[in-house]
Amino acid sequence: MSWTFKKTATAFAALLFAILLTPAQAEPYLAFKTGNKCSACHVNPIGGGARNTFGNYYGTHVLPALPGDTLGFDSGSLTESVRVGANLRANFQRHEEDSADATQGFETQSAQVYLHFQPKGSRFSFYLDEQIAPGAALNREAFVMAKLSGNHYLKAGKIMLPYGIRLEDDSAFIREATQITFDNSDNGVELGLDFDKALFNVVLSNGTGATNNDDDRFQYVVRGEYVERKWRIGGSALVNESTSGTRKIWGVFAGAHLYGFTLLAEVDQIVDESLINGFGNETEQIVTLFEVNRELGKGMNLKVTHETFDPESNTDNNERARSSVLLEYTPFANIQLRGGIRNGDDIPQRDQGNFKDLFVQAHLYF
Amino acid sequence: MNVKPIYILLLALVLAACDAGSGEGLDENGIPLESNNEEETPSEEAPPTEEPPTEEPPAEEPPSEEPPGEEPPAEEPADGVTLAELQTDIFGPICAQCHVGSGAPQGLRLDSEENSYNFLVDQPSSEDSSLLRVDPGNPDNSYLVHKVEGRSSIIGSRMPLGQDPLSDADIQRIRDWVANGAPRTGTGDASTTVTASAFESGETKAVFGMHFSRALDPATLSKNTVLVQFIFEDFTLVANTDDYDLHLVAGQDLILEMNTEPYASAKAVDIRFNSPLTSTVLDFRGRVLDGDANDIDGGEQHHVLDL
Ligand code: HEC
Repeated sequence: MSWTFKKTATAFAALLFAILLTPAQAEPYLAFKTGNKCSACHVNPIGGGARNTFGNYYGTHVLPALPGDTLGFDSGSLTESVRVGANLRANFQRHEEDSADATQGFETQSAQVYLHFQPKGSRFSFYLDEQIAPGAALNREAFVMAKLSGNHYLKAGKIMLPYGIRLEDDSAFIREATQITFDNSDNGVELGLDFDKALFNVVLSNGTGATNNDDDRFQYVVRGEYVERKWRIGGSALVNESTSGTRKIWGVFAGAHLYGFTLLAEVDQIVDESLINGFGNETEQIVTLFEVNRELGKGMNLKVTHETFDPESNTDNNERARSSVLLEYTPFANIQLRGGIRNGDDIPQRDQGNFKDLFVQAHLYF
Repeated sequence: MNVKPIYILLLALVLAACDAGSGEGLDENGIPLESNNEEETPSEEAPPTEEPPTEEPPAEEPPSEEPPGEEPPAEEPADGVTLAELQTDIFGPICAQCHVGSGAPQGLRLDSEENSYNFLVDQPSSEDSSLLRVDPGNPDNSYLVHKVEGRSSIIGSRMPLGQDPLSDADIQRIRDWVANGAPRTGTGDASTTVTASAFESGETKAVFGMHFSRALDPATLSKNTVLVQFIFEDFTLVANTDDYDLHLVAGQDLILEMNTEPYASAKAVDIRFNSPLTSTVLDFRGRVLDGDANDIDGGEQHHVLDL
């Protein structure tokens, strides 16, 4: 059992901090539920990170059980041109693997600060997303964005790749196996064509996979999404050329809001030439996500998720699965409490895939 | 709030859904058994004591009638860690969940022995370009070690990300491999180094621990390989050999247990190990221990510790 005083103290401090400040994180299901694009609430048109004025209003007035202050909700907007934001997640987790003793403890799962600088009247803006905990600061995104005609835009810098449904949970199979995570952003340019009901993204980036990046090989990503009030459908594809072999990912995703249930689904196939499977061929993997959300009462969301991962399509009996039941409660503006259980199912000989987690998370959003 | 049966049904469905594979015919990483290469993935039944071929055969071990420390009963001492072992036990099953393929985080692939070597050894860290991921011979200067130890200076998170930290023993094995020169195969040519691993002193007893980057040859270990002196206000006393004991644990850790009762008013204890003045110690390859960490065999390990 790993239970150190230091961790406990840190977690308490974090919790306190969280209660004094404000937390929250939207998660794609909210966009799916409300029939909006990510850009409705987020500064970054592909979602995640800092919220804009409407996002802050939604997070403080619509999401919580008790709405916040009518005037102060957008206090992160310091001046007309500078906006700051933050997320902090503090966890208590109990982790149990079939073969080992359960471990439990508090941790600051992560904390991020955002800065958005848009000189008044300028087409250009600067966006920064820094993870300040755990560990020393890690830059997640840093880019300059230029508004083109309409809502179209061009970004350049270090960006998180637009791919599939941008879940917050980086450990979800669709995030982990595709390696499109908040910790795995890449340097490049992104063109966004933002139409009334559709968003298209095209990215050209450095790509990873060589010991250095000056290999004249690039990564290409395209993503398209068509959004209706009650449903949406989209697809994405990625090609990463690397000296050790090309990696291709493609997939489709969809969402619907029906009878009070918000459904999300994504399926991706990964073909990686840089990974040779047991038969001497390129590795083929398939990941899926299925998520159902239901509002149980104002400020209270029930989320049930089921995920599968086939780490090599040509091998039998090797599939993995994860499922979870989560309750998200937003009692008032800027703080969300989440708790639930997650169950990992894997082949019996892989201990780390067979687990039961119980966790409670305080999430402050500002 | 009334929970409708439908939720309970949904919940039950999700939790009951067990569509994980049966694992039949696969090894512990989910790779088909017949396609394994013997060296990297020992089958489940294989005793963990089997040594992969090392570059130099271990020195002939003369049967020692009276080893100074007790041999650990069942567990065979590890001679020194190889990259193949780290790959099988740590990099493959734990790290390669993420550090795999051409999209690996920070461009660091740990998905095969060869990749682990090529992407780690002498490669600059992409998070902290002032450090190498693995600086051969220098665990304390290697970013890989910082990341798995979770030092406060690291950028981003402790590895493995989002999971329980590696055990102290596993971290020590990574450190040993780096200390031994991060060899591609075998346990390397570099000298065998020593680090002080523990010191505790009580009313009547003091304990000092040393860790070696490779296993020692127990036959070369005796009380004469340590010189223990107690330092008093204005004189120094050489400890009687009856007042201390040596215990070698798993070949790579030496515990020096001292009875401090006869030296009650001593301020400090001076410990010299592997000193050319007394008697030197050999590692399992038959080479003299590098006590002063100058990358050359031989040299004294010297500590003065306050009591
Ligand atoms: C859940 C996914 C995951 C697992 C498992 C994981 N890593 Fe990482 N690793 C990452 C991510 C993401 C980063 C970059 C962000 C960060 O450092 O927090 C990273 C960064 C690193 C770096 C820094 C690389 C550089 O060049 O600066 C090292 C070293 C590293 N990991 C080693 C390991 C080792 C060793 C293990 C196994 C004990 C491991 N990782 C397990 C995801 C993972």
